[in-house]
Amino acid sequence: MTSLWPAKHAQGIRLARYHGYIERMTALRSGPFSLWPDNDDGGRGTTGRGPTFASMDTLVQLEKVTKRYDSSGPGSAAAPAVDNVSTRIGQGEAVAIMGPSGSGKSTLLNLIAGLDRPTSGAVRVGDERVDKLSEAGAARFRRRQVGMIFQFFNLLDDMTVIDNILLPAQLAGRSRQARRRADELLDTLRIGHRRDAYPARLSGGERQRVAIARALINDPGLLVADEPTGAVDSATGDEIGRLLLDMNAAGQTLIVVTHSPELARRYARRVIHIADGQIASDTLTGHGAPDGARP
Amino acid sequence: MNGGLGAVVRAAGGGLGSRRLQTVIIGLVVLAATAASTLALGLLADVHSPFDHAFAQQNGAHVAVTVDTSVASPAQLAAATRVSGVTAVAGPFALASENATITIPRIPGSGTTQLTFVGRSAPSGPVDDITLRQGHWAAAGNQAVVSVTGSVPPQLGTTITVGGQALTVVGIADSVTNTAGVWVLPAEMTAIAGSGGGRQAGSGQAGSGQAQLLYRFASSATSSAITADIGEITAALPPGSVQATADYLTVRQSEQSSVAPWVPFIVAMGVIALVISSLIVVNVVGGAVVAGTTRIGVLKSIGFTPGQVVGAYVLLVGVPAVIGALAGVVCGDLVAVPFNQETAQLYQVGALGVPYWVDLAVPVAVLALTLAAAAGPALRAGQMSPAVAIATGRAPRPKRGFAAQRALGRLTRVPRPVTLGFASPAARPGRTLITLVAVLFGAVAVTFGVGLAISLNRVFTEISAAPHLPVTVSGRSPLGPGNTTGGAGRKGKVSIGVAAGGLSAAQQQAIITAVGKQPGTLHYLTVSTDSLSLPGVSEAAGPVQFTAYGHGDPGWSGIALIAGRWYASSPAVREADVNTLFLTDTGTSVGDSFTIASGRHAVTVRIAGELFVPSNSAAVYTSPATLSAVDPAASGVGQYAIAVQPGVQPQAYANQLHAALGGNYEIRASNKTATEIVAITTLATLLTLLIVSVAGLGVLNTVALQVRERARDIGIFKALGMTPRQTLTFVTCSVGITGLVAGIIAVPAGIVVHHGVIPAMVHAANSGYPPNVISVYSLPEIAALALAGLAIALAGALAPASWAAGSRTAAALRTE
Repeated sequence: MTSLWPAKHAQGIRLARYHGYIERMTALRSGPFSLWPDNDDGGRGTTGRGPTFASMDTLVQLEKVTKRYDSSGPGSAAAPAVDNVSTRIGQGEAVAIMGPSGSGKSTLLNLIAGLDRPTSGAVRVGDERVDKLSEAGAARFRRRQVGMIFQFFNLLDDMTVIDNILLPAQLAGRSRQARRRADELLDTLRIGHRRDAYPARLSGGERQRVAIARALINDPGLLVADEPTGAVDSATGDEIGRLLLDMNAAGQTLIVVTHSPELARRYARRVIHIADGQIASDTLTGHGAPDGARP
Repeated sequence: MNGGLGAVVRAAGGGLGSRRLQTVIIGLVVLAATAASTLALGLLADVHSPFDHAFAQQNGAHVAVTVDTSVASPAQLAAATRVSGVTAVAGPFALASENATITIPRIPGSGTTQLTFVGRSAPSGPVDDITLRQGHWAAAGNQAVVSVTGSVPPQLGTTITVGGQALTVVGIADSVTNTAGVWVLPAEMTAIAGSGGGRQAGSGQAGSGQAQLLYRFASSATSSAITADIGEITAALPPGSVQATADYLTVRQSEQSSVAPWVPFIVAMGVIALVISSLIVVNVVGGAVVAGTTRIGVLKSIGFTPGQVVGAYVLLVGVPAVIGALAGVVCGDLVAVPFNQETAQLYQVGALGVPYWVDLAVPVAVLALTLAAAAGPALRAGQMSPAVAIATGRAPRPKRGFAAQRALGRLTRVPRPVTLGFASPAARPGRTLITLVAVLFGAVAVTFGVGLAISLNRVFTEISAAPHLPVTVSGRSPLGPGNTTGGAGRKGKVSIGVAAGGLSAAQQQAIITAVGKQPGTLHYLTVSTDSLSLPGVSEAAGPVQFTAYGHGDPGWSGIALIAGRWYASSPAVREADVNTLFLTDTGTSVGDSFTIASGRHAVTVRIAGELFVPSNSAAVYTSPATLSAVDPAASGVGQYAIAVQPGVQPQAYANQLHAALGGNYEIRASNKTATEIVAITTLATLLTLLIVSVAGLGVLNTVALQVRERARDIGIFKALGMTPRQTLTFVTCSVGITGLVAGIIAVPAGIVVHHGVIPAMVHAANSGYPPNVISVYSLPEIAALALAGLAIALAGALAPASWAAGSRTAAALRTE
């Protein structure tokens, strides 16, 4: 395996950072700044325990999910974007969805996140039937349960870093409570010094960290990332990948769409290959954590 | 087709197909702007020459001649139709002036008046092409058609009894030069003539009575030309046979003085409509082209020259604009039908229509404006390099409004969608400014329209006599029953309809007894009237009108004082109140003394006050004793004007009084609704609605563009948890703040327009005005009007906001 960290002392640094991160994330999820009421914990990762694969409860469940776009409606010769897909993703898993362009992986991610509605089949996240939600219901679902990270960051140009991060919480009507959590996230993701900067002045890596902080502001049970390293250089991509994995190590369920086999192999524990809208393979990588950090 | 041209056309066609919403909005905006401009310009054209317009449409008679057929033979009449300079003749038509009794269906009682009957077999003709407003032309001997401006109330089914013969009104018609009061079939004239005490009708046969000849002349523009024309006719007929002549210039002068008060209103509304239409068209079209910058870059990258780019975009905008302009002219003309009816009613000039040159000029001008608005930005984009054009088009937005976004983001107590929306206008200040101006004009129109309606309502229903003394009792009236006492005559004057002739002492005693016994009586005034020619007072619109209120406080009449006070009622005090025209004509002021000299009598009165009596005639209000001193021959009390207690219906009161007094009295109840206020309020409402619609379409376009430009942002918001309702709030707030600001600015602006137009209208009606005609805006009204801009903005934003709220998140995120 090729490490992007300098040899010799890199592992020690990573371990130290990893354990520090775990502590901070654990504190964020269960400490006094938690945004979730104590009795509202069901269906989101369990804090303070390693993601032991065998013991995982199902968080995401797809049953015979098919998505056709208008141009590939009934009677059309075009293939559906997602074709009769069924799978389960456990709490605390880190899953990479791979496949060539147009294979349907982003569509699958959109269906899980409630950004789109399947033509048929059922999508369950926690206790929610996502495919049955109204637009307003889906918005509330995303607000509470899903953190989204996009390839091109999708930060709002006219808002500062802190305003971008706070936006999901403000939409949920929790702006005052969220400020302290935003500050914690800024520190954790090492972008505190960029708090009042506008996205245009940030590097690609910084922008994606802001996007990650924004995705985490409402403490979602599920983090989905669509090509999170697609718009950054390889070093930054590696850094982002490790951040995501760190979060997963802290109990965060993670679904990542990526083109990069390297990223999938290194930072996910399970890889689902999609081809022509169907699951071509679903494998455990046996990797997915920095050397020595994997439980 | 030339390859280059074909490519341009195909590029434009592709643009039309892919930007359906924008195409529809351009079409709608151009349609609304064309319709509004057609209406506005049509009204502006009409307002300058309503009589000329109607006169031309109806081939009005330049000269109407009444000939005594007992003197002129048919051959001589025929010869008189061939005098030099004549371009068209109608007649001779049999004519008779007879006393007739008028009975209106479902209204008890009847009235007697003198009517001019003319025998015509059809309304159309080369001269005086009569416009039928309601019903049909007389088809049988017992049928009649009445003039809309005549003495007979214009109501179908009314019975006119003349000489024992009953005629039923089957049609309401209008002659621009008022050639008759009642038209019947020619054969009917023999029975009518002489039966009501008038002269016999003629039918071209010598010795049979009167005949009417109607002429149009080649040269008729001036009084001297008309005088020469009349001289030709008179010379062609036997001496003494021409009994009367009437020329159109006299009627025209009278009509134009009636129109004058409404010119400022029409001009104000017309200018607002034209400005807002131009503004919205430029904004919409310019915005559409700017929104297509990326596409222009792509077209250039595949080989389009700048000229072809401009051509493609002019065509892209031109197609919906042409369709919109053509449909707009049709809509404008269709909407103009009720508008013109109202305007014609307002001007009392028969039928009006949109001049043909307006139908041509407006779409051409709107299209030119549209294409110029498209060509400018297209030319600029066409000059860009393809890469720059593509980059410019894809750039999210100009980097503006960050500070506003940041500041509003700190308002943690305000919902975030609201602050996001409020920050949006700062991102596109140019577009925001244009939207603000568009909404501002719409809200100004609303503020002005509301103020105008309140002012007119006060003029016609609060500070005139009719609503304060709604029931009148008189002996005999020249007008038919059912007419109101406070209505307007053809010249737009506000006057109390006073019966001709005085009431006898016995009649007065009977009235006083009946009124005293009748429940619901509040108080009453006796009314005496007179018309006198006074040296030094202009008689352009007739002699000075005298009114004397007795038996109570003249202030009960409700006529507003502009300055001073009402005259003292004491018979020993010689005081008078006068209207503004009297003061202007005589060069006097309130407090001055003025000697009223009439015949051998001269009475010096002190002018106690200036009254709000807009009129073409000078008016004097004084005590009965002073009037008697001025004109001992005055007929005395002619009418009792009664105020009823609150809650008492004037018509019910009048009916009860009618039952008590019997049929020898004319008892009328005011319906409180003056023709002018209905016409002008309807016109103002329709114009305001049209202007508001154009402003709303402008807002719709702005918000649609904004939603399109911010589709990605909206997608992000929704992905982060913004609900459809929050999206709706965000988008409406983005334009709501602009609307609110525009509304707040519009209130003072509208009040300024109101305070400019109303005095101009009143001055054109030869009057000053009391303060309450101008001070019409109360605080609650101002607060409500300040929200007009917000209402326009929200109405315009609702549709695109709903589209944004209903859009699928994943699709919005995919938007470039």
